[in-house]
Amino acid sequence: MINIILNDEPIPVAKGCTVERLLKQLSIKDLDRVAVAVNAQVVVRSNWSEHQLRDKDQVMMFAPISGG
Amino acid sequence: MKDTETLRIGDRDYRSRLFLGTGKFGSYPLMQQAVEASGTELVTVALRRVRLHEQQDDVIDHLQSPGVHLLPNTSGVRTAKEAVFAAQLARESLQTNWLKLEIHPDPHYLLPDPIETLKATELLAKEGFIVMAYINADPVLCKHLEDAGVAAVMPLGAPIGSNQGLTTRSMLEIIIEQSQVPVVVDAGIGAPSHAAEAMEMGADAVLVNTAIAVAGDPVSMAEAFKLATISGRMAYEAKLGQVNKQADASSPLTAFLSE
Repeated sequence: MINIILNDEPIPVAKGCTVERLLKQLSIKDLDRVAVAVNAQVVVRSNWSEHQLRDKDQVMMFAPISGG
Repeated sequence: MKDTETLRIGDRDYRSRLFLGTGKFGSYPLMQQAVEASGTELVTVALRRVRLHEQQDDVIDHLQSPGVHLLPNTSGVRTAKEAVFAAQLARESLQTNWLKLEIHPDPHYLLPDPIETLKATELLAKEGFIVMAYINADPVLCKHLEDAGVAAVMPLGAPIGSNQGLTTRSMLEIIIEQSQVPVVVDAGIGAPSHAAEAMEMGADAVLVNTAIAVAGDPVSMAEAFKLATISGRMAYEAKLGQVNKQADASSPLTAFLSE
């Protein structure tokens, strides 16, 4: 197991876990509208299944909300 | 009713010249009804970090109307670098290269940072974003933004959410006179009369949020803004009469009692 930091919260994931697997593990419902960045670099959707997370990676997930 | 001219921004034509912000509504169904009543074709949304232990926000489900496009904003960023990051995230999240660029480091008055906004516009335009930049009503900055590849400028009428109206009127007039890109008056518009005033001056569109969202009846207010925006534009296209200091009789002065 390795530990990543997701939106400031440490989360254990399996070694070699991809962004896609992480999102599945978290049961995020509306994946269509989620944007993901790892260590402040956006990971585009088409790379989710390939991008492997490393120990201490800072993962951020964003989704739309209302705003002006 | 006579149709007013369509507005072209980037690669899209808009029939409605009223853009809506989606913040501050009492509920999403209410927001949805207001969007419909306003006739808008462009609505802003923001991005936020997902809160893992809370229910996911479903704002987009309430904005899926045919003909209504999404304009993600960069609210919350303080620098050009953060704005570029936010823009890339927004493009990923919403599958659009349209962007309302707003960089306001000061939380008290939320005034936009012109230097960071210019830097971010240069970078984002090169990356293929359709950048609509929220700025202070500064005509010189507008020219710099044009050179940087901005798609539209969005000068403020007054601080965000203040409902003060067009306190920057004289600068807005210069911007409208000089601009080679569409001018969308954003922020401070607190009443339909303010929207009509901006449109009569020749603004290409207005963006309204707070005045509609916090109204006693947001749906009716959205319709009132729709009518005011159309009315103001129609008046602009019809060409307003000149303002004179002296009286100019509307009836012939025939002195009919003696002639």
